[in-house]
Amino acid sequence: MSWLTNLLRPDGQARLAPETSPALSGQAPATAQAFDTPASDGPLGGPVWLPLVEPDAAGRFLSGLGLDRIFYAPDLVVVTGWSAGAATLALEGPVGPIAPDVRVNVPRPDVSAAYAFAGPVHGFLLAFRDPPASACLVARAGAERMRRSEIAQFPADRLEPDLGRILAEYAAARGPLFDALRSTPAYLAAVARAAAPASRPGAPLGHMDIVKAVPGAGGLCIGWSLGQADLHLVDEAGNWQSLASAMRWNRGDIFDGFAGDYGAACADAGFLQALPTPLGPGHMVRLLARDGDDLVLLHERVVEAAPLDPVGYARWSFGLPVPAEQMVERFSRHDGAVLRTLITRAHEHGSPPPMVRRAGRVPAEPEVSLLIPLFGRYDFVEHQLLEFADDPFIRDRCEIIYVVDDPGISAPVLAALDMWWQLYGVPITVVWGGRNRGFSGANNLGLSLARGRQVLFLNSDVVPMAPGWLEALSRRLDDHPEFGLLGTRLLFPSGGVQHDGMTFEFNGTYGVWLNQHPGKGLPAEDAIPGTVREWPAATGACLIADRAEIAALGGFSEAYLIGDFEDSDLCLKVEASGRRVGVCPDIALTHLERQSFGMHGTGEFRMRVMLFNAWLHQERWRGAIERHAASWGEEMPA
Amino acid sequence: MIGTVLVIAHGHRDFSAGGAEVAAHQLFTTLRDQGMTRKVALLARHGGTAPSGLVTVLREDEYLWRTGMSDWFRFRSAVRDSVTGPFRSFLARLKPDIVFVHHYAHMGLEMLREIRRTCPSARIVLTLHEFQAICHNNGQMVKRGSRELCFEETLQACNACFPEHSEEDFWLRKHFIQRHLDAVDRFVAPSEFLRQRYISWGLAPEKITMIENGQPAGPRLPPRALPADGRRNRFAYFGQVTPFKGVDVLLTALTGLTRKQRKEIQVEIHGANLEIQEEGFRGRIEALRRPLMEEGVLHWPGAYHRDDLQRRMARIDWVVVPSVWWENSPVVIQEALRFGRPLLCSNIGGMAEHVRDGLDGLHVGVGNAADWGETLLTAGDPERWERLYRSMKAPVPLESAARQYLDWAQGTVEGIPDVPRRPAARIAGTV
Repeated sequence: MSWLTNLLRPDGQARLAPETSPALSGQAPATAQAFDTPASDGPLGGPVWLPLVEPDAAGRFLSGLGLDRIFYAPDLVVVTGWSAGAATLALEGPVGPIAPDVRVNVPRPDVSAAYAFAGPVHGFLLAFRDPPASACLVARAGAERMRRSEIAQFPADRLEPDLGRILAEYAAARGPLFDALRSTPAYLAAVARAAAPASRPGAPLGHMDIVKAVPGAGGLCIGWSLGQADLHLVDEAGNWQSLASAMRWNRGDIFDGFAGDYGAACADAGFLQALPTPLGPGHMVRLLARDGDDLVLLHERVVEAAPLDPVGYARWSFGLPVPAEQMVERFSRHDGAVLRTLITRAHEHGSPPPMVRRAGRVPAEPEVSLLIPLFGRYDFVEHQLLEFADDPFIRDRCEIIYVVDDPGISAPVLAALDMWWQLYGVPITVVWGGRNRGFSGANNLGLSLARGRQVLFLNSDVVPMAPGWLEALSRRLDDHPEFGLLGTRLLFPSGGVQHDGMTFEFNGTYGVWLNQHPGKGLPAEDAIPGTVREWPAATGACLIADRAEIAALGGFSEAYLIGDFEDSDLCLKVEASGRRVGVCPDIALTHLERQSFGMHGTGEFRMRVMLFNAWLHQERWRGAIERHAASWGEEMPA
Repeated sequence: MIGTVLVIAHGHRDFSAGGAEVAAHQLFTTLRDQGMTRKVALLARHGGTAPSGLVTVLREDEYLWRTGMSDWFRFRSAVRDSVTGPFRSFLARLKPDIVFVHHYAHMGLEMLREIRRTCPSARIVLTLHEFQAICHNNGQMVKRGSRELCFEETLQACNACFPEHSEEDFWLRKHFIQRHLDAVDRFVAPSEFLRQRYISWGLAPEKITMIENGQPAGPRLPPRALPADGRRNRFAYFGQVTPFKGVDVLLTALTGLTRKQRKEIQVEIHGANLEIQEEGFRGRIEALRRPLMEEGVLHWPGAYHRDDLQRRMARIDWVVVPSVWWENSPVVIQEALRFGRPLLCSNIGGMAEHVRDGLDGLHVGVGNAADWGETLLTAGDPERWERLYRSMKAPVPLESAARQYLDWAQGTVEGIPDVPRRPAARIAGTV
């Protein structure tokens, strides 16, 4: 205890706090020489007060109280010291003593030995959150001796400015203080800094494999831990995140490596936890365990930068080893919000002006603008043109807009434009948006350039079967003004139903509402010519609408990742605007479903993109989805 | 009289003497020499390392189209601006009233729609020489990498042969081909067998007819002079030696006979292009033929010029056609009929159709070496040979075939029902 040596310094007396109590005036340690210990390189400063002791008639010390350090800030007071016998220290406010938020006692054999108290000496640490400004420290030793000082009046040079020094001395206080100071980042950071690794066998273990974040958007920490302690992440600024709600899964490597020491507690060692937004790249993050009263440092690591682009972030973060069945829970409790922020942010960057190229003459006032995004493959174009070429309504009275949404194909598509016109004689407009915008963005770009009275959203892998279908579909929309969106029947190449209207179905495995195509794969049912059948939603692979109306609704939502659920989102939006959604089962086209998505990588990634979008879709439309599902007799989730 | 006829072929007979090239050239020369039309032109595709896309003159009324094909899955031209450039200009100048197209391989399907676009009132007639449109396996309708015959294409079956192409890819292939064939007014199949295959695939029966490839008219050859007690035991194969032609079946059959039996037989292979076949196949043929040649039962005169065919046929008794694929209308069958040489052929497809069993020759079980061995032994009977020699039909004369082509092309439009396009979903034929 370095303060003891301070007492013996020549100038030690000068550093004593001013006497605030006449009763204590002139007190000095009676046996100062007894404290003679080797000099230490400890801090300057020292006991705030000289110890208050009560000797008996024989000069032996009955009780005593030492005040070692005071950390004082308007919102926190931490006091350390020792007491022996009946001595007490209290913080008293206007209405009496204040109960400390934290009280930690430790044995102080050193003091006991130095003063030769009859009984044991207890070291103590008291912490008070937000004490009254007029609070006073009151020390009592026996009935006679008392010292009192208003805490705000202590001169700065008698106070301990570094909470860390106190924490270094009181290991047992780190845990309780960590709990008590959770909401005050500056103090929490000091507590976290004081945490030390544990050496006790069976103590908590843990490691952060990955800590990555995007500035201002949040991030992820992935790692593993062993032991029963509560885990926390704290960075140097005191930003805190509990791991109590982390995603957990079993890690075979950890289980195999540590089962000998940790037994069954090795199960579900893997964790994934979203980082709070302020925790950005460059910050040092500590993984801490609250183990009894101790705060154990498990691992520390600097936060790295996560991909800024939403698709890049998804590619990185969806590959982390969270089982697919837990992804929706993960989005909901962890980084779904991060991805939403990145998607929103990507749209804020603005886009270069689109490049528009035309071949052939488009009518001044087209009946329908066909909006067809191209991504990955573009060989479908010729198959569509082969059909459009033989359809006078499309060839002569409509506007065909291919929206290139893939930098990898923009050059060859633009280069092929004139040849397509030469070979098929169908006027074509090709739009290149300068970057990948996703299904919604590409369609919305096309929508912004379309001149048709109506718009048809069409996938490039949907191929008509015979001329006349679009004229029929356009008229059908005119004849059914209560409908805001009309889809068509789509068939697989082998002839079964690919789409005949969409419903919503809760998937218990993934814990999320998904879009369903009833009858998918089966032979199509008979269709009554000229009819419209109302559905909760219809696929965006082929969907007609009034252009002004759909533009007023903002087109497709661009909140989704890559492409999924934008169509049902649009359908629900149209429904929310008071219109209906239907399908014309007698108008059928061929759909080579998913052929154009091959560029997006493995099925596993696509699956997780779908789950993210499903989660987002559910966040946005849960009420409407459940109402539709109930009316369709779908089972509701428990 | 008919105005201008254009015959298009995927190769010129001067440079490529395949059956289809020869048939196209014969149609051209017959129309021209017989004065059946006011004007007739031949446009034959001519390859080269870097096709210029130009249409150039070979000699009067004969043109070469310097083009090529890059996409053998969908039969797309490698020089598409040649279709919309030089080919379009050529058509615009020639203004044909009838266009006989003898193939689209090596040129691409685009030309069909181009003819329709540039010559809207021309009658387009496409002769189908094999099953390229139906089968990606070189149009053989044989399961890839095997000798298993294919009876019907489906998306699933084609994908099973070519896992690297999805079912959707095969749908797209068929879609692309069929929508281009929409530009064709009428189709010609040189065999009823092929006609039926294309009808199953999706062509309207009313739009496709069977017209035999023609042969120059002329007397047949006298029977080969036999010594006393001589047998009709000289068998000859004419054509390319490829894995589909069954030469290995024939050699295996010979190998399976006893040396004594083989002494009664002489087989000649007048075969070309063995040297460009796969190594495995070449090795198999080599291993089979060497002992037989050393023994003297097998002779391998190799490739021949068509002018020499008569002489070669005069020296033999039988023409053998042991193909292990369906065939369509092999020229060698027409030639055997023309020169009066009975045939031994596999009992399937175009072979079985053009060689009437017991009248024009004998049918042998396809790919069955034992059957071939027995047939080679028993075919020597001179009396049966004489009966076949007498009962053999004559091939269709060139003039007659050309007349049938013209009649079919000219047939009134009303005579052909307006066939609605088949729903695309039924392209697969599996609904």
